[in-house]
Amino acid sequence: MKKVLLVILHILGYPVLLALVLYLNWDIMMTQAQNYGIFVFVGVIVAVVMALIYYICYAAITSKKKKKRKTIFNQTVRLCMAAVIPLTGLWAVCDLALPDFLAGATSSTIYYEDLADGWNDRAEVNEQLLDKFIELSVKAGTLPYDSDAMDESEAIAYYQSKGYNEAVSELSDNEYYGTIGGLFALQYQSMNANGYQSFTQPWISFATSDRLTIPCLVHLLLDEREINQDFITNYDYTEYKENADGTKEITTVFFAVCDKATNTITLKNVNWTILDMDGKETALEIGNIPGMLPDNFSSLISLVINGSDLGPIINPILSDLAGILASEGILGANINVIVETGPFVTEDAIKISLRPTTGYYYPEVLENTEIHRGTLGYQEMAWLESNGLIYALVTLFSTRRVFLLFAAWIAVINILIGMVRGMCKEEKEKKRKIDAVQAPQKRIAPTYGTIRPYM
Amino acid sequence: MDAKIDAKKVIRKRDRNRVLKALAYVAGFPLFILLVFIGSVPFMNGAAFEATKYYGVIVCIAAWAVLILVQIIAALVTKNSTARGVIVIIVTLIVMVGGSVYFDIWAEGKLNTTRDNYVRERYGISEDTELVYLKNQINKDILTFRDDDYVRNTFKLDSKTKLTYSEDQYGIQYVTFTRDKKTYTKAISIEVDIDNYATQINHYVTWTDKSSLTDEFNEKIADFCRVYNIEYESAVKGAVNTDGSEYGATKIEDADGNPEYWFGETGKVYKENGLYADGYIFGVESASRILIAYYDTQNYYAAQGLDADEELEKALDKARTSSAWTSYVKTDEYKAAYGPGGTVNKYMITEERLEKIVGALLQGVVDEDIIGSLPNLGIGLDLGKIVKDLLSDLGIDLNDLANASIEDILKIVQGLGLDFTMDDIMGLLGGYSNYEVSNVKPLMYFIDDARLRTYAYAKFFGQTHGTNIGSVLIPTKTVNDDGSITYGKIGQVTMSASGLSYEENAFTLDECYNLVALNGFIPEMYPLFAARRYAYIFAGIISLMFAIYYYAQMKVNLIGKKLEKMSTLGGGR
Repeated sequence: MKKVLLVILHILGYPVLLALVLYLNWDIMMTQAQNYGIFVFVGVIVAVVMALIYYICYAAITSKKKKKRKTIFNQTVRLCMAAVIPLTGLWAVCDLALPDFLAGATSSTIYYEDLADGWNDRAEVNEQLLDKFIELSVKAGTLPYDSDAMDESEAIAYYQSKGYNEAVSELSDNEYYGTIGGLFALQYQSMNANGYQSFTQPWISFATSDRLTIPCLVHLLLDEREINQDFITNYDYTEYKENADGTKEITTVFFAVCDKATNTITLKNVNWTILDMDGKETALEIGNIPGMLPDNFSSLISLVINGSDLGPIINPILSDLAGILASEGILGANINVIVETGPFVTEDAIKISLRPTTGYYYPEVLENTEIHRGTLGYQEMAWLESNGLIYALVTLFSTRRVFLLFAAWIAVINILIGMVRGMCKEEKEKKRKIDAVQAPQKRIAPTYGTIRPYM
Repeated sequence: MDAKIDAKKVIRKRDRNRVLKALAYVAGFPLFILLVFIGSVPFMNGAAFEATKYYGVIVCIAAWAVLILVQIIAALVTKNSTARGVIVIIVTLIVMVGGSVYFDIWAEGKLNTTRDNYVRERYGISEDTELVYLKNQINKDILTFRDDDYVRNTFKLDSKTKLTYSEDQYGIQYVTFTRDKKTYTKAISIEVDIDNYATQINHYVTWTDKSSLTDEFNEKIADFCRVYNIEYESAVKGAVNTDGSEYGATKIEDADGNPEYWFGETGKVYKENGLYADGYIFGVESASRILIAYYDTQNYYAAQGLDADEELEKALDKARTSSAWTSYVKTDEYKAAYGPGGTVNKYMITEERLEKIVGALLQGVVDEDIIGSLPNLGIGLDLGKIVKDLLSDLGIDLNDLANASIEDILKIVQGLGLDFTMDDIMGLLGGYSNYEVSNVKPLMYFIDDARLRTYAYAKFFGQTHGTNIGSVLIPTKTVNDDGSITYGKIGQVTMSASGLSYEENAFTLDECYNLVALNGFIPEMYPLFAARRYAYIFAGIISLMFAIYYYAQMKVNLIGKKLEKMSTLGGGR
C-alpha cells in the first residue's frame, strides 16, 4: 500500500510538471514545429532537463551503495533542495538578468514584463505575423497561385497551411525562392540593409523612442543614405562590385516584386522611407484644428468641401505628386498620399494620410492603397525574422509560473515521500526485530536437529 | 551522577553565553546597517539618488570593516578578552562619534559653501561682500546685507550719504538713508530658500507624516523632468552622429587651455566642434544651467532696455565679418562641409539641396502634366485654369516651368503679393532642417562677447537642439502686431505630442537656480545623513554590544576551562 502511495507521490511531482508544460506548449508545438523546428521545444526541453537534474540527484542521494548513508530526514532535505534550487533558481536568475538584456536585444520592442505572465499573447501575435506576411505576399503576387484552381482567400489559406521552410510546388519555377522562408529572407534583407539599418543615427533611435519630431522626420526622409553593408546575409540577392582587396561592395539590394500585368516575379531595387519602417499611416486633419490655419482659409475649405468627398478628384493628382516625390533627389522612395473629405472625416476638415508601402491593412484599406510592397512594417518583419528565437523565449516563459509553483509543490511532495519512506523503514526495522527475535526458534529445528547437550 | 548533572548545567551556561555573544554581535553593526538601509528607502524612488542611494549603507559597511580589522588586530595583540573589548570599544567610539561629529562639520561647511555660491550667483553679489545670515520668526535663514559698499552700490548712493540700519520684529533688516531730501527705508534681507544645516539634518527625512525635504526634492526633479521631457542623467541616443562621426570628450579648449564644457556637462557627449552630440538628451543639470544662462542674459539686457536676441544677432553679424571667421571659412575643413557639394547637403536642406528638390518637383509637374489635370471644383473654382492664367500673367511658359529656379518661383509668389525672400524660406526651413557638421566650428564659436557667446550656445542647445530631440527648453518667440509675445510650446514637442504651455509650465530663473544648488548638495549628502542619524544612536549601542560580546566571550572561555578541568577529573563528558 505504501509503495503504491510512493509511486503516486512521485507521479504527482515531475511527471505532472512535464505534463503541464507539454499541455501549455502543445498548440505551439503542433502548429509551429514545421516552421521553427527545435525553437518551439525549448520550454519542454528545459522542463525535461529540470526533471533529469532531480532524478539524478534522487538516485545519488538515496543510493544504497553510499558508504556513509544519510538519514531519511537528511535525504529529504537534500531532495527538497534539489527540486527548489533549480526550479526557483532558474527564474530568480532570469528575473534579475533578463529584463535589461531582453529590452536591449529587441531594441526596446519586447519587454520582460510582456512575456513573464503574458507569454501566450506573444505567441498568438507571432503566429499572426507569419499569417499576415503570407496574406500580404499573396495579394502582392510574390506568392503566386493558379487563379483557375483557387481564389485569393483559398490561396492565402493554402500558403498558410504550408511550412515556413517547406518547398511549395507553386514556386518550383521561381528561380529566386522556393519556400515562404526564402521569400521572407529576400524581402527582409532589402528592408533591413537598404532600409532600417541605412537610416542615420541618432534619428532612427529617436523615431523608435517617442521622440519623432518634425526635424527628426525630415532627417529620416531626406538625409542621404547608404546601404548598410554589415547587414547583407545573402549576396545572391544583391548586385555588388569587388574591390581590389577582394571585399564586396554592394550597389543594389534586391526585393521581389510581381508585375501583376504579366504575372511575373522579378527582383528590383526598392528604396524605403521611414514610414515603411513603422508600417502605419500618419494622418492629419486640416481645418478643424483651432489656430492651425487662418480663419479665412478654414472658411474656404468649408466652402470647397461643403460636405462632399473630394478624395476621388484630388487623389489622382496626389498620386502623381507622390510619384514625383519618389524620384531620386527628393524622397527616393514611394509613399501613398491619400486625401479624404466628406462623410468619413470631421466636418469642414480635410484628412491627409501619408500611408507607407508596407504594413498590414484591412482588405478594404489595402484596396485603396496604390503602392504596397507586400510586407509588414520593419519592426514586425524583424520580429518575424527572429520568430524562432521569440518562440524559444515564449515557450521558455511558459515554464515560469509552473516551475515556481512546482518548486513549492515538489518540496511538499518530497516531504510526504520522506514520511512514507520513513514509515516503510520503521516497518522494515520492526519486521527485522521481530525476525531477529523469531530467528533462533526457526533455526532450532529441523535444520540443525536437536540441541546438543555440550553446546 | 551528580558530576554529570553539574557538567550539563555548565554546558548549558556556556551555550547561553554563546547565544548571548551572537545576539550582541547581531545587535551591533548588522542591526545598524539594516536600519540605515531602511532609512535609505526614501531615496530609492528618486531619480536623483539613483547613483548615490546606498552611500549611507556603504559608509556603514566601511566602518564595520574597520572595526572587524581592529578586532582581528586586537585578537593578535592580546588573548585577554577584556583588553580586546576595551580596544574595540574605544575605536568604536572614535569611529562612530568622531566620524559623526566630523561629518557634521564637513557637511555643514559644504552646505554653507553651496548656499553662499548660490546666493552670490543668484543675486550677483561679489566675493567682497560678506554674507550675513539671520533667522526669521519661523527659524528660516534670511540673508542680510549690512555692507555699506553693497548698499551704496545697490541704491546708487554716494559715499557721503549716511546709512542707518535697523531690524524689525521678524528679523528683517532695513537700511534708512536720505536722498534728494527724501528719506527712504529699504529692506536689505532676502529669505534664503535653501535651508540651513540644522533644518536639513532634521527634515531630510521626517519622523512623522510631514512632507520631508527629500520628498520635496524628488517632486521638484520629477516635475522638471516631466516638463522638459528628460531623464535625471543626460544620455546620448544612437551610436554615432548624423554624419557618422564618433562622439566623445570635448576637444575644444577655452582661452586658458582647459576643456570647454557647456552647462556643466563634462561627459563624453561632445562632437569634435564642441557642440553636444546629435543624439544628446539633456539631464537635469545641463538643462537647468542652459535655462539659467538664457534667463540671466535676457534679464541682463532687459535691465538696460535692450533685447538679448537682437544683441545676439548683432554679435553674430560681427562674428561673420571678423577676420577669424573669414579665414576659417577659407579652410579646407570648412569648405568640405559647407562649400559647393559639401557634406552638409546630405543632412539638411541647404539652398543647393533645395534647388535640386524644386527642380525635380517641377520636372515631375511638367512630365505628369499636373497643372493640366487640376480639377474644376465648380463654384467658379477651375484650379487648372487659375494656375495657367497666373503663370501666363507672370510671363512664364508652362513648358519652361521645369527649368525654373527657386528665384523664379519666388517671383511667382511675389507676383501674388506675398513678400517672401530666399532668406525667409531658409529661415523657415531652418526650424525643421538644420545641421552642424561635427568637425566644423559653428559661427557662434567666434562671438567675442563672453556673455553673448554663452547665450548663443544656450539658445542653440535649448531651442534648436531641443526641437530636434523633442525636449524643447527654450520656446520660439513671436512678437505679434500688437506688440504682445506668443511663445511656442516647451518639452515634448513631437509628431505625437504637442508639448506644454511655456507660460504655465516653464521653470522660472529662481526655480532653476534653486534646483541647481539643491542638486549639487542633496543627492550626495542625504543618503549620508541616514548613516549619520543612526550613527549617533548606535555609537553607544554598538559599544555596549561589543562589551557584552567580549564579556560573553570571556565567560565562554572560562566555562571552557572549567569543563576541561571537570573532564580531567572524570566528571565531564
